[in-house]
Amino acid sequence: MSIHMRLGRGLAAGLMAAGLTLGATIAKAQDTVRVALGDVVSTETLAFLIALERAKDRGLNYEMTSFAEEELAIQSIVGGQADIGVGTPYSVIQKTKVPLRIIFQMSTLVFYPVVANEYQSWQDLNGQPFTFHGRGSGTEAIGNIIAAREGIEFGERSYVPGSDNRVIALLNGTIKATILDLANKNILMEQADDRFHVLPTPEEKASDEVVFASQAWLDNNREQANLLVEELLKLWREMNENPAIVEEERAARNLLADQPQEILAEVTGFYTEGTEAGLFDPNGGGEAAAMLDFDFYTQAGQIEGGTSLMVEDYWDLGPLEAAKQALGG
Amino acid sequence: MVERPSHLSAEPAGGLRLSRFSSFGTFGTRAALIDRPTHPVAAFFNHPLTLRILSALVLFLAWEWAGRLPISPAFPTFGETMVGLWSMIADFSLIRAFGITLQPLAIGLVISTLIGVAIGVAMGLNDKAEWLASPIFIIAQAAPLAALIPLIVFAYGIGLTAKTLVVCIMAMPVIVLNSFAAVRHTPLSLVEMGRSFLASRRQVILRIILPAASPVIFAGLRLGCAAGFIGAILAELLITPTGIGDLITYHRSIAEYPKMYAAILSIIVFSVLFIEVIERVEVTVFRPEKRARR
Repeated sequence: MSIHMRLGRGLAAGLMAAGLTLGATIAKAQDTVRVALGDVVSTETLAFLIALERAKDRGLNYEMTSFAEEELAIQSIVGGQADIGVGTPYSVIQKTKVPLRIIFQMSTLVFYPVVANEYQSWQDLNGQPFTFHGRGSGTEAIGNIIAAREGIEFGERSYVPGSDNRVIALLNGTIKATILDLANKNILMEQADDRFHVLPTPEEKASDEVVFASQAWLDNNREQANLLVEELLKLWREMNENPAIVEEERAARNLLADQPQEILAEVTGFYTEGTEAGLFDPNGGGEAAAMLDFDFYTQAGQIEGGTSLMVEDYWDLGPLEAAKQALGG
Repeated sequence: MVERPSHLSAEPAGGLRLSRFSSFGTFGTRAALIDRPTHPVAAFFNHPLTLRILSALVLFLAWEWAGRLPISPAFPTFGETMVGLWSMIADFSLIRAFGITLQPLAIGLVISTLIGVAIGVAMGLNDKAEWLASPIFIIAQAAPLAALIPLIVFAYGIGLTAKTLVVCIMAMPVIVLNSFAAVRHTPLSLVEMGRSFLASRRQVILRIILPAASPVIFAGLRLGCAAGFIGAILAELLITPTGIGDLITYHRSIAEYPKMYAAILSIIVFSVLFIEVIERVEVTVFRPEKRARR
């Protein structure tokens, strides 16, 4: 046998082995749902994790990857390395023309404008410096909408990513007015409620985090999508009835076991306050939420078109409808 | 200005002169060895500038092709990126962003250059200085900076100080360690020659050690500046988004990928041009013998 033939055979065998491995990976990927989370698993994402676990009990295998940033999680769905993502993909759907579809609203934008006591009302903030999470972010959009309603204009805008970092900046006196999420608003108020207070915000709330997938995956895995959304909707309804269910389920399933007791002790408190504040929509979003989001994210500068956009270009309402039928109501 | 060693001013004849007079100068010494006239077409294709433009063209074509495939729906073509770049130039957002990014960068690089070269040379000349300083800079060079940034933020806040410090931490170790190695590797025979001509310590340092060390010191400066650029962008991405870092994060968050890549490309091009300028300054101002050979 000539050396060329041997080389050729060796190469062919290698390619075949590689092909088989690749085929096996693809086959495996289809029965395991790959979930991309834009953050580490924490109190905020615990409810989502419980819904996933419940779906797993009913036969939905999943593997979860935590990404450092939400954009990376979205990119992993765009690139096809993951099936289900959590984040805010409106601008990506509009601008990259990737057929991603939202199937469930996980949380709404519940944010609290926290200002130093020298500012008593929104009017006092006219022309004053204000700090947001980032340019074009949800917090800035909330700020813009409030400013437009109150007829004021903020002075210099600065950007500090992370509510926790803005709490430190507030406590240090570096900034005097910003917008915080629920958990960090509570931390700040515990430490310095004599120096800061919360200003009122508009009632209607746009989506903060939504669950989404590619249209292709949804078309090929309808049953898995329906199952997941059904479990999400079920838990979201239970949560609104009884927020303590999250902690009960967590303890029963021993989730977040690596977290310290102080963090775990706050779970029920977080979900109680969250459901009261409307953080978790018991209807899972849907058409009404989509219209609100179109308006909100257009004002935020993330998308264009406002309420003239078509819901079916952004949402796949199928799984949510199926879940409502299965659960009733 | 440092007096250069006299042996360097004597040039070999022949080929070098040829390279200076031919319209497309070839790689000096090789031509000198072959010693035969090069064909103008071959000279054109062998010219460094032609090769550089060609390699850039190949890169841009590959980019365009990858964008058209597309390798990811989020990856824009070269053409789209150029349109994004132009729109950011036209609305002045790019220039404003550079104005902001260059502040910590310029301050950090000036500090790193002045202090870094001084410390590096001191370490090279003095054993005690070496023992004192080298562990700090070796650790600083090996440390994963991105992981240290939260620590810097706790200590220095989120303003200009923290960002300048990140630039310094990135740039200074490279400059210090290269200056140190450069001084340490001065040919001993040159130093001994100086001593045998009864040169004072000061004369040996100024006329022998520093001129001999300058090529590697400048190499360290170029590497340090490149690292400083990385530090400036890292600081803007990880501390607070300002300047070019803001353009990158903002356009990523609203999925304007062509503009995001245009911002990244602009800082890379700027960095390359800046390092090229340092090399030119080095050749024209500090190292006449290298200029003569070009």
